[in-house]
Amino acid sequence: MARSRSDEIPLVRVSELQKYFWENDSLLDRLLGDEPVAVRAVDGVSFDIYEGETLGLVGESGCGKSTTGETLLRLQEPTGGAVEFDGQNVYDLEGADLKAFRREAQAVFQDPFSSLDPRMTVGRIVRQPLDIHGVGSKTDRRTKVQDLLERVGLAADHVDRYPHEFSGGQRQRIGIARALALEPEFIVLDEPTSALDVSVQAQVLNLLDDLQDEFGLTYLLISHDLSVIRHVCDRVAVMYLGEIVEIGPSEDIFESPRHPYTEALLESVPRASTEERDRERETISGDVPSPRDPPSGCRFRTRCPKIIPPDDLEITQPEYRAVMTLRERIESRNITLEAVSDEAERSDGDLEVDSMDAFVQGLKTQVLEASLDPRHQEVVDAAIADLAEERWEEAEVRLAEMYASVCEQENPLLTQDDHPAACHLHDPPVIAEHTIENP
Amino acid sequence: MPSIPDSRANTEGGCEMIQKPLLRVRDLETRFFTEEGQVNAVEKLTLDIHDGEVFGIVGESGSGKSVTARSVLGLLESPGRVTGGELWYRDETFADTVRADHPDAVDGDYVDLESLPSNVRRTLRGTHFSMIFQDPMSSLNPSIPVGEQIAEAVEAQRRARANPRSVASRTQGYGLSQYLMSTVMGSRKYVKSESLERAVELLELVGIPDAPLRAKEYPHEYSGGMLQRAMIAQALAGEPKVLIADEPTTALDVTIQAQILDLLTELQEETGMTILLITHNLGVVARMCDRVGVMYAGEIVERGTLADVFDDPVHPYTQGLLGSIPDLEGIGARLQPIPGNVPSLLDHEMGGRCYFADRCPKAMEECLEHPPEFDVDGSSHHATRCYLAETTYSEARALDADYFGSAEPLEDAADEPVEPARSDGGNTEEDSR
Ligand SMILES: Nc1ncnc2c1ncn2[C@@H]1O[C@H](COP(=O)(O)OP(=O)(O)OP(=O)(O)O)[C@@H](O)[C@H]1O
Ligand code: SF4
Ligand code: SF4
Ligand SMILES: [Mg+2]
Repeated sequence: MARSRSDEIPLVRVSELQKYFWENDSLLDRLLGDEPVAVRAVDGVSFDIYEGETLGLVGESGCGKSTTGETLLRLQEPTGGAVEFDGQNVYDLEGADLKAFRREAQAVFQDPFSSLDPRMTVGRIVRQPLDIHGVGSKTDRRTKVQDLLERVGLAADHVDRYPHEFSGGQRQRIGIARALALEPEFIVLDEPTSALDVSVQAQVLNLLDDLQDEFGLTYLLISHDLSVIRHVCDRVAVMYLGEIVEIGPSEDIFESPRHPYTEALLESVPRASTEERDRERETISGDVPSPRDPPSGCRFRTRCPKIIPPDDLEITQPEYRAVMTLRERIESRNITLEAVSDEAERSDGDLEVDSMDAFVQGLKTQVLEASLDPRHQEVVDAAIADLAEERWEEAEVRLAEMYASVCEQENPLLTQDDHPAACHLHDPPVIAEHTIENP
Repeated sequence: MPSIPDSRANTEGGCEMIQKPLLRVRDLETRFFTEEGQVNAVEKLTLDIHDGEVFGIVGESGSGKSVTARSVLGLLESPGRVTGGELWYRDETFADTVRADHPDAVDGDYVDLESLPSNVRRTLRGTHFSMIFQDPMSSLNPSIPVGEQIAEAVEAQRRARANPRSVASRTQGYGLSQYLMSTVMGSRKYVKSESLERAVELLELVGIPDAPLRAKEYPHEYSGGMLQRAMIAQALAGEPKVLIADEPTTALDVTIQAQILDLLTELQEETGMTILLITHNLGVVARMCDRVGVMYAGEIVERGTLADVFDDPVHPYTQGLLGSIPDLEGIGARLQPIPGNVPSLLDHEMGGRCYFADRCPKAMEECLEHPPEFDVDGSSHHATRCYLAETTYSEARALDADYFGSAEPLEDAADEPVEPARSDGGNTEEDSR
């Protein structure tokens, strides 16, 4: 597909889309005075999808991929932002316009086992959208359903069978036939092959490819599988914790990723080849933080192997990563002091309980992931000594003064170019001249 | 006294593994007796697994991978039963322990686990064989703090080690009453503090940050990756010789999968344990395994070193599997799917032919007779259940395209001429040996 399409009008334009879910929002919670908590599933994403292309949306579970897909189809009400389809704001549509949108934009979902009503025959399942939209006469519809089934590789005489009589791959074909019934322009494919075996997945991917060519379809393909994304998509958007961190032509994303998260994702996928054994790869540590309380600044900073140290600080990347992880845990009070005191007691036979040194050393082995240069060791030891007296804030401040990163203070914005990435390493000059020492 | 059938890996020269295999599985058969009929989940499965290696079993859903693992562990539940075959495990001490009571089950330092009564076999669980699963909650109790559960495993294993001959049933009873008590009485401690210390060490070993704190938390307070680590810690409590890992990373995101795979590699290198890794992910196999067996319809259809199977596959199913995966490294050409679906494994539907014949692009007349396992030239570990190991494909003997009827009209092959497997065009030898 064309690379630079900025002069074209996109079929779908998503601007600053937000979708929050609320917890503690029941009447009882309000009576008890519990504050509602926002789960920021989608937090201001923007992207365009051009006619005839496949845009991939990739990211780890819970990062907001499916919510993005559902919200842009108006299957969920947005918390904020807008989606334009063919130039019209989807959330303003009513009556006939809304109905037209419901025909033009369809979805295929992940689970071929639960997304089909087990009590309906395959014929009725595929025909249902035609019935709802009152398309053609009864015989027209029946012929149409048979055509559709044949087109997706099933047999016309399957109309009277029930979903349980079909294998996973066949059920996914039924779901695709249903999505095609109204001759849509645009289909959101949400993990369409994740429940399928690889040999069957290949059948379905080929089918989707053929249908796109034949009907000039535009796809948004949501998947966590990078190989599938690479195989199918023209452009790719990478999501992390409710935000898009990088978007660009497929080839660029895979050949020269710009965001450290994209790099980490690509590194992590084990390749099915005999060279995989010896492939050196850098894995990232830690888990995805909760969307209830996402990190300040760059949301990837709690795991980023390239997090940017202050300009004037001399520190290696592993040291800095270790210090930042320690700060993280101090700030969330996620350290047990008592267990370390116990340990100090145990190892030195109850004499050393009060010994600050034993405490500091003990805690340090618990909580610090790398050994530090003496300069940094001194600061960290002092902070840990603060903890011994439960002076959490002092420890926090002591470390923040020395180690605060631009990555925790400012949310990086997507750059304005062909292949935007939201990372301070790609900020426009002036701030961007950080030298990162990699291990 | 029975004797152990010889295996290729041993009889052929030039094999770098001089040691006798740790496990010799011979013609293992597992059946499920269901209402629809008899399901042949594992069919004449033969394997050698060596000390300290990582052996992979790869295959699609329903091919019998998990049932194989459970059969090896003796963990099958009704209506499943091992109906045939032998499972020789090499352990001198264990052989000495059971020799007096079960002379028929012992041959030198090998014991045939299939001919042991289940209560004796159970003593091996945790201490010799351990298993981890895709879903950590299948081995962790939601109402007991994680540390305590691991400590419990530590105690049970200590007991079992101290007296391997008789504790079997007591271990069970102890576990059960302990379980009942701890569910009734919440988190009161019923484990010794030294076991708890060991549990914290194990949690540290598997990379749980701040293990002393985490040990006191309940499973629901753990993230998916940490639960996986906790389950691994629990499985390691008895310092098993063999770890069976059934899809240990399938439910995890790729960045977490990478962490868990690295952890398994590290633990394997540190402890020297043997790992039987079961997965449907060919990338995971390539990352982790020394040797691999490809399962289809309850059989190992091809096995060998990683290079044998990935670089020189002979069985059209193996080739098809490799050709079906989209390539991360480049925009691949059109994928080459295997037409059709995995068969049902119902005994009365399987017939006597090669089980893959109805999907095989190279099915020939001889394939109507079930193929035995053939050696493949060039590598002492490489074997396959396919005539192409010995014969060249010939159009003349090819079966008609609709020989098996077109019951499954969904073949992609319907719109394109069938060309055998492999998208990269690399290994599609028409003359496959
Ligand atoms: N409890 C059971 N009762 C009846 N049949 C069973 C039972 N468990 C497994 N089977 C059958 O045994 C065969 C092999 O199943 P198994 O679970 O070993 O497959 P698998 O290769 O592990 O698949 P997956 O990749 O989906 O985990 C299947 O045909 C399955 O239906
Ligand atoms: S902004 Fe900072 S923390 Fe975020 S990805 Fe870039 S370097 Fe890493
Ligand atoms: S034995 Fe025949 S049918 Fe079976 S895989 Fe080999 S060539 Fe195909
Ligand atoms: Mg399984």
